Amino acid sequence: MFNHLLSLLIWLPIAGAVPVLLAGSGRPNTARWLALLMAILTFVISLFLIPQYNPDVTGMQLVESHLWIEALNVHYSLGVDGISVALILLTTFVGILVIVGAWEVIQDKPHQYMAAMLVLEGLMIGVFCATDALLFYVFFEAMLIPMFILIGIWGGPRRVYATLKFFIYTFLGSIFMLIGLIYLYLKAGTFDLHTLATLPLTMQEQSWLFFAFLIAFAVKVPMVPVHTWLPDAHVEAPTGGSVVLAAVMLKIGGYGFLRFSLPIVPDASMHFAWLVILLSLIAVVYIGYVALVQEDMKKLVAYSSVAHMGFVTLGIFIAFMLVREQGNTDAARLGMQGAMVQMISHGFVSGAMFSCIGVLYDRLHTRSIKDYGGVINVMPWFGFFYVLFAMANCGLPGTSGFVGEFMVILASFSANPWIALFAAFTLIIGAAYTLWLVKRVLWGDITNPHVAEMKDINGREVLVLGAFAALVLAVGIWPQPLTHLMDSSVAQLVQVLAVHKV
Amino acid sequence: MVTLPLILLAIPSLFVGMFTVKPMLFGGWFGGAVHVNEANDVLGEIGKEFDGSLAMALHGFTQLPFFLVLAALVITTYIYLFNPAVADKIKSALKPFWTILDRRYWVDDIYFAIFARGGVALGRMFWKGGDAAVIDGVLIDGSASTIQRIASGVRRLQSGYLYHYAFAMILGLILLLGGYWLIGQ
Repeated sequence: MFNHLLSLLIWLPIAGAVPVLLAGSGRPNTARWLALLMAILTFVISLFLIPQYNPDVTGMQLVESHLWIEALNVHYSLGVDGISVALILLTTFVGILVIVGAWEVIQDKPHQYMAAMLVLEGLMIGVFCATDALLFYVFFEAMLIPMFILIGIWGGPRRVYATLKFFIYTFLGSIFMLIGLIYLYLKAGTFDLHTLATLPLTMQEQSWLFFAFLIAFAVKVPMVPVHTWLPDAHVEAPTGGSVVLAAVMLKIGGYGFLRFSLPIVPDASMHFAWLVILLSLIAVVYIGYVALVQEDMKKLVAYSSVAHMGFVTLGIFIAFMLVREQGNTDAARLGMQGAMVQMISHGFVSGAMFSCIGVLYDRLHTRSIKDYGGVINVMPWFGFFYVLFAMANCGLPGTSGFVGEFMVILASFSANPWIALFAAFTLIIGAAYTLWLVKRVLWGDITNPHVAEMKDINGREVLVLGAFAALVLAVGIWPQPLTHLMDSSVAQLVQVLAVHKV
Repeated sequence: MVTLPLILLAIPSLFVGMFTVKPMLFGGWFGGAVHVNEANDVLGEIGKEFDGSLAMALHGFTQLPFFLVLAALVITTYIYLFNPAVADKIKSALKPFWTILDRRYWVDDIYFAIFARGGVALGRMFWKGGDAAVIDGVLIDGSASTIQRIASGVRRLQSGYLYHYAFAMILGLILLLGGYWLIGQ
């Protein structure tokens, strides 16, 4: 079984979607319980990764490889390093919570909703396992389909606009990646990522490839200025869709940089690192201000996600400056490690924030901030969780939000204090938009009579928010297990940065 | 509600200070963790004179700061408890100073106007001007509507009339053959 652990993780939820779908709209509870069972089973199996994966050894582990398309030398090859393991665990964990979170909320065709979620989960795990570029691409694109369905069917009033925008945006980006991959295939005769990483490429080739990858992953992350699909997608998506989108799908952009841009085109990545760093800082400052004035809670958190993901790209590309210009591998590792912790932490925090907004939306059917106010008077337990996640969103020490941001700021300070200054700006502006949101939603007097009728969170919601809260605090207080899991992989990546191909 | 915890905290802090002031301020309590420049070693100077926490506390009652506090206590007690009219007289006599202090030098107002209001205005400008107008308006929806305009124009070429298509074919044939002929020349 363990030789095929990764395959099992990918295909179990996808195969599990079939009986869920077959349960049909006539037996919604059967579908729900089946979906939950599949999600829990996937999570439990993913836990086997922890004893199976040896964090002290570099390179891909739990490797599987079969010839898939002989004519093109495409392999169905899977493998994980510490970063993938962390992201897979995040995916399977969030997978359970979105199904629990949707339990009574999704009344329309719940079996199809649950099935789409399971398929999405399997495909996302596939993205994190694939070590063949074409296989990666297939999972990367296939992921759009269940997400398209989730937003398009269970979405809000402008769901058609949002889904098309989301789809065309991401698709346009990934087409460039496909062109890049085809070029690489013609040169190397394989899609194997490890071989591509050692393929010699001229600076000109690298530059073109770098931008092909950049467009694909920048849309996914998303980076300024290709981020505008995200607020729309989030606003229209059902709560579960938003949670998965923010918690896992955005991470695939950051993960793509690690798997493609860094090892395959290191010199071009170094050459254009300033561009990515600049865009990341714009994301932090500019998007921070945009988030401040949002009137829709989901849009606010969506914009805050863009700002937080700016830290991920900053941490990844600051490492180039540190390694190549200063030879400071320790700081580079710190920055890269910070970026990875930020990815995981943002998974928890944004997932939790969107779940909180879902809780409010289920009661009042509006996401507009001005419709709330004084919620703490009727929902004290909800308020407790909301404030905790808001604090984590600001990056308060003791929560997971602090760890990654602090590491990235420290690393950028070694590279250039000015970069650190702009990056640290997020601490102020992030606190401003998050605390102002909390102030307007939770505190004050109840002005809307419907707010007075709101009921505090039920057991199911406590379960979801409590699980998120536990992890936010766990990573915030004791990040060492997480950093240890990823440490050797990060160290290896930092070594890759120093390799010149031209 | 917070009175009791404060009292409970005050009692032990008194004793903690009494028994640990020497090692904490003048001894090696913190090891080398706190470094003080030789020239700025105020605590070191005090340490030379230090002879027990009780003596230090009693010494405080013989110094000017204590008498100033005492004087302030007497004056304010007199004014606010026995003769409030004095306060009003001082207020009207020193009105400008009173206003400056009462408004805390307007620092909060200035900060609110610049950082809070300015931040919101900046954010709105970025949102409406940058995200909504330029990125979404021009680039995203703009390119979509441009394509739609082009497509709806080009669509008219497909009229559905057979003779239009036949005519287009003849025209194409003439152009193609003409092209060949020209190249042949």
